[in-house]
Order: sequence, then C-alpha cells, then structure tokens
Amino acid sequence: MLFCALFCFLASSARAQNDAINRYFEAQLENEIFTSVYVSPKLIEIVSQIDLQSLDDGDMEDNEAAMIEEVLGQLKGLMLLKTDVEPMTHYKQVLSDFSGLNSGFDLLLSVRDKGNNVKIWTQTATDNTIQELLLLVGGKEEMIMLSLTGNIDLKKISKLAGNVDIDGIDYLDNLDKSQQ
Amino acid sequence: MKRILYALIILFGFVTIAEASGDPIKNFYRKYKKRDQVFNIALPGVLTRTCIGMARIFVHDEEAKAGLKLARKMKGIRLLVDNGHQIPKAAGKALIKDLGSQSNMETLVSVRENGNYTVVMGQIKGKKIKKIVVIAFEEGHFTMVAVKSRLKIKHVNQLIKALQKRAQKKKDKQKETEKEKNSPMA
Repeated sequence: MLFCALFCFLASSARAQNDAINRYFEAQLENEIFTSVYVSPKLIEIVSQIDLQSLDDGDMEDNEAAMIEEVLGQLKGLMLLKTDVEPMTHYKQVLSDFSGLNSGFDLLLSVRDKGNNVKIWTQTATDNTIQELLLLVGGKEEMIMLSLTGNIDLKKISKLAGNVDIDGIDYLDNLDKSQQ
Repeated sequence: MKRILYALIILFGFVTIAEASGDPIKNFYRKYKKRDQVFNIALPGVLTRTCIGMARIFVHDEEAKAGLKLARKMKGIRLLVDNGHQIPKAAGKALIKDLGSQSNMETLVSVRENGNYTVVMGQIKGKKIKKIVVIAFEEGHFTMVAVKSRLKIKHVNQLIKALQKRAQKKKDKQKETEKEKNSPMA
C-alpha cells in the first residue's frame, strides 16, 4: 500500500516537473524577447532515417556521421529557449520554478563556463536510462534553456557539442569534461 | 418513409457542413489570394507531374534527374506570399491551429527569432510524407507553402546518394588534374 502510494507520488511529481518545463516553454513561445526552437519527435524520427553518412563529404571525422545518426536515433524531441533580455532574471526564475518542485530530476552538473552558470539535470527511467536532459545556462549576456528527450546516452550526447549548430548545445561539452 | 427522409436530410446536412468547413489551407488560400500585394500560385499535381515528366526527357544530368524524380512525388503545390500587411498575424495563427485540429497535421519544427516566426507542419503516415505546410511570419510579410506529396524517406536518401556520387566524381576529377599537374612529365 505504502509502496503504491510512494510510486504514485513519484510518478505524479515527475510528471509535474515535465509539465513545468512544457508550461514554461509554451508560456514563452509567444514572448517576442525569446528565441524559441521546437523540434518534434516525428521530425527527429524522419531525420534519423536519412542516410547522413552519404552526406559526409570528407569533412567529418571517422565515424562522426554514424555517431550523429546514432544520437539522433535516440532523441525524441528538442526544445530551446534563449533570451538576451534580462537573462539573469529569467535564469533565476526558471531555477526557482524548477528547484521548487521535488521530482525525479537529478542535478547532474553545475559549473561556471565562459562566465555563465551552467546546470544540467537528467531524469532517469527505472532501467537507469536517461529520458530527459535539461540544460540551463544563465549569465550576463544570455539565458538558454535546452530540453532533450529520448533515450539519452550521456557519452554520445556530449558529442553533439561542436557538431550540431544549436544555441546552447556546445555547453554539453561539459558532460564530456566531467566524465574525464 | 419519414424516417428515411429525416436520415437523408441529416446526412445531407453533415456533407454540407463538412464541405463548408473543408480544408483549412484551401479556405485560407481562397480568402486571401485576391488581396492586393498578395502573390499566389497553385499548381495541381497533374500539371506538376506532366511538366517534370517532360523536363526529364531533356535532362541527362544524374543529379538533376534524381531531383526531378523527387519532384514528381509532389501532388500539388500552393504558394501564398503577402508583402503588404494584407494577411493579419491572427489569421495565420488561426490557420496553424486549424491545421492541427482539423487536418491532423502536427508541428514538426517551429522557430521564433527576432520577431520572425516559422513553423513547419506535416502529415506523416507511416513512412510517407503526405502533406507539408511551411508558414512564415516576418515583419509585414507572410508566406505559406503547402505541398501535397507521396514522398518517402527513401526518395530523399536516393537524392542524397545521387548528389554524393556527383560530388565524389568531381573530387576524383580534381585529384586527377592535380596529379597530372604535379607529375614530372608535366
């Protein structure tokens, strides 16, 4: 009985956290001071079926295209919010909203990189696979919130930094550094 | 007899309502296409395929042929470009909403930056891309491109492979000319 109640509580709080991210994202979608990017699971599914290795014209390193294909195959969705208007205020707002809810998200990393505060949270499933990764960057110049969903392998996802041109994704490089 | 009559009236009513609500893209296109400073073009699938079929006779380049083969999968194209504040932003947003609720289309990508907003919506069944709609708002400008297709991912991969083949050929040719230049005989 107690186990069931605990399970229900954990499940609902995890959902509440996900909802908090989605709610914040949806609320800022119409806000013109934010740059927003949303990539649906369907599109990622399509792109992952495209033969990226054929697109490699020799500029990519060995197995790089295969690795990107593999990472894309694991991803299910991407959401990005970015602003340079009062970035620290927005950073603190997201941080307080996010930390206020006790959920299945674990703080994986907290560093200062290029003068910015960088925090990475992950949400793991029962089989220890990472289902969601949330990156929050706040500094004097910009605030970035990046959410990646799917079946995420930290070793591989960090490789996206430098290979994919999305704001904030280069901060995933910190994952690689922390693992070393 | 009365029951049959009622049933027919109800059925007729449903058909009329369904036709009246119709395709949001078609309704939107019809509503705004005649406004000043609105450029519009609608190419039916038959015309597109015929033109592409004719073009393929004269094209010998492999890459272009692959591109045309891909283009033949397009069933119809509608383009609406407003350069003079004729289409209100709210109408565009309502269209996006209707596409989601009435046409079962889902947002594939949306990007908002510096007041510009671009959204790509699609209707994908299995591995087939049935419809793609691109809607873009810029300051005073509005663009809508709606494409009906029979496109599959394998067609995109075929085009990529054709392009890659061509790029490889170019590279090989360049290498050969460089070798010839550097050879002691030269």
